[in-house]
Amino acid sequence: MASSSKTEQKKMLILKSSEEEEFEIEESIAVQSGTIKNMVEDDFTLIPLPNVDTETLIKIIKYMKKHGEKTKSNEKDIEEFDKEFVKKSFTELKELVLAANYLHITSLIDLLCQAFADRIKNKSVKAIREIFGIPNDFTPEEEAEVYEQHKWAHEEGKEHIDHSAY
Amino acid sequence: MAGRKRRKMKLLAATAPTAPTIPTAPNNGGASSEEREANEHNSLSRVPAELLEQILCRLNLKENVRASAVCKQWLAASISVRVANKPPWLMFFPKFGDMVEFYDPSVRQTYSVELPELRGSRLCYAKDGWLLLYKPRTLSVFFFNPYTRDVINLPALELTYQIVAFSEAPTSPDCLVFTVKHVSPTLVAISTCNPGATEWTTANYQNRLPFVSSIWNKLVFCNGLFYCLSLTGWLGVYDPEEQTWLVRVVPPPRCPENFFVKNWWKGKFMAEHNGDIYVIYTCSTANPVIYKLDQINKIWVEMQTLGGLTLFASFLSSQARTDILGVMRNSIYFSKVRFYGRRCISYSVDHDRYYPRKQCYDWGEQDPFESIWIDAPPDLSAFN
Repeated sequence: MASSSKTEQKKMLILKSSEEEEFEIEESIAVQSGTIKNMVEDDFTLIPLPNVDTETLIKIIKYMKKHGEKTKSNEKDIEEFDKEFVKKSFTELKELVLAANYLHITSLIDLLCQAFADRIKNKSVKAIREIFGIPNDFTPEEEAEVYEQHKWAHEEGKEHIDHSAY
Repeated sequence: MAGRKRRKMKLLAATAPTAPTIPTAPNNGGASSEEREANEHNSLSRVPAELLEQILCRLNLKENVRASAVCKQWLAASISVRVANKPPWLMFFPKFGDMVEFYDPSVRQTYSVELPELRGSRLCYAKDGWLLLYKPRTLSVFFFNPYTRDVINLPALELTYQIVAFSEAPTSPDCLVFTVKHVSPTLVAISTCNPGATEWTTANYQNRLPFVSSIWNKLVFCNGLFYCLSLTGWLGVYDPEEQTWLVRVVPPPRCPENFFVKNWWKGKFMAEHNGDIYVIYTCSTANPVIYKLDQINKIWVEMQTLGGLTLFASFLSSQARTDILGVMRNSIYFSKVRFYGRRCISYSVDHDRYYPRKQCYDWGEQDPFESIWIDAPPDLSAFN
């Protein structure tokens, strides 16, 4: 792949997904990722990302491009983009947050963590386990103790506890 | 044995794929089989601790506590980010000597410290970690922080038979002290003062409706106004900014018939929380009744539940808290009635009973100046 042309002002980088697919991106946009920024400072232009699959990388690039063009006037526009961006399945969100964490994109980590919090806040314990694929590692006695200590939080009361794993 | 092994393996194999659980909860659809397979193949199906904490720190206390039951990693993460309010402490004023006791209801622990600064004075009010006290001999009025032992003096005033309150900590520039004195059924004298002033400002105000002000009245500061509940349940409101006094046209909270027994005028409490005003009526032969002021419809509404709130009732001033651990929700905490027994008793609104259960609790029997709820200290350095 040709490296950045001398006539262009903007330096380009190449990000390579775990599936070996390559994506060109402006350096000024890519350095929203702390991880990529570090590698650029070490003179890398081809950035291998073995922890990020193609599908997820495409989404992350889309996010960074949108947030790279942030100005005072398009704040509302970016808010809308963010709102739509998190309308994804739990699996996709999980891939994204792990990738964002690995790539050190603070604003994206915040956005995704908030989305997770909003989606799981009314979920039952069993639904949360299903969503995250977490086995119950409490013994029956330990689990009973955890429930007993704060019975009040597990009672349905007036609010609806959601048992679906969507 | 097996349990310990399992735990060790978990620490080492954080990225090992975990077997999906068979869904047992009834759910409409639940996770699709593809999703479950994806979870299985995804070697990072376990979210790392620092990410988990970032998610959990965005939940409120109840949601946080629920999340802690998911698995051990979630239990540890939720506890590490959990933010809960501290309940107030109960301060016991000594009848003799200078030894003041403080009781923390969340851990049932008592602390004591000698406070000679309080000698000869009488408790008046507590708010934001500060006490207001009065010395009848010298007519001196002063603020006292029992933990830092800071004293802020106010100009003298005769306060022997009056109820007095303040809006916020005296260290705040907007702090205002307020007291109301009965002149006649149609006239009250209101005195106000702020820390730093050289004298109190006193003015007379008319009562459009009969209103009796006495030491048995209750005072709270709420939404910029001082609310004063008379013995018979009428509400007088003082606006410090407009300098107006109005007896509100709100029928008194209904006092159940059987509440007119001995000491009926004493077992009353008033508290404020987030702009809402609560009144508690107690009686030795019945369970407490709680009212909340509906400002829009101008009536007191009887509360069957407190929506997660806990009230801490003491004669001179009461407190309210949400999001606390260690004390019960939807409950009222009282100081003990007599010399013996527990320091603190609670009444559960949800379960309609006192803890511990007794024949009767007569809050009218309490010495009104003996104890008061006050904000917990930031640490235990005051007690060494």
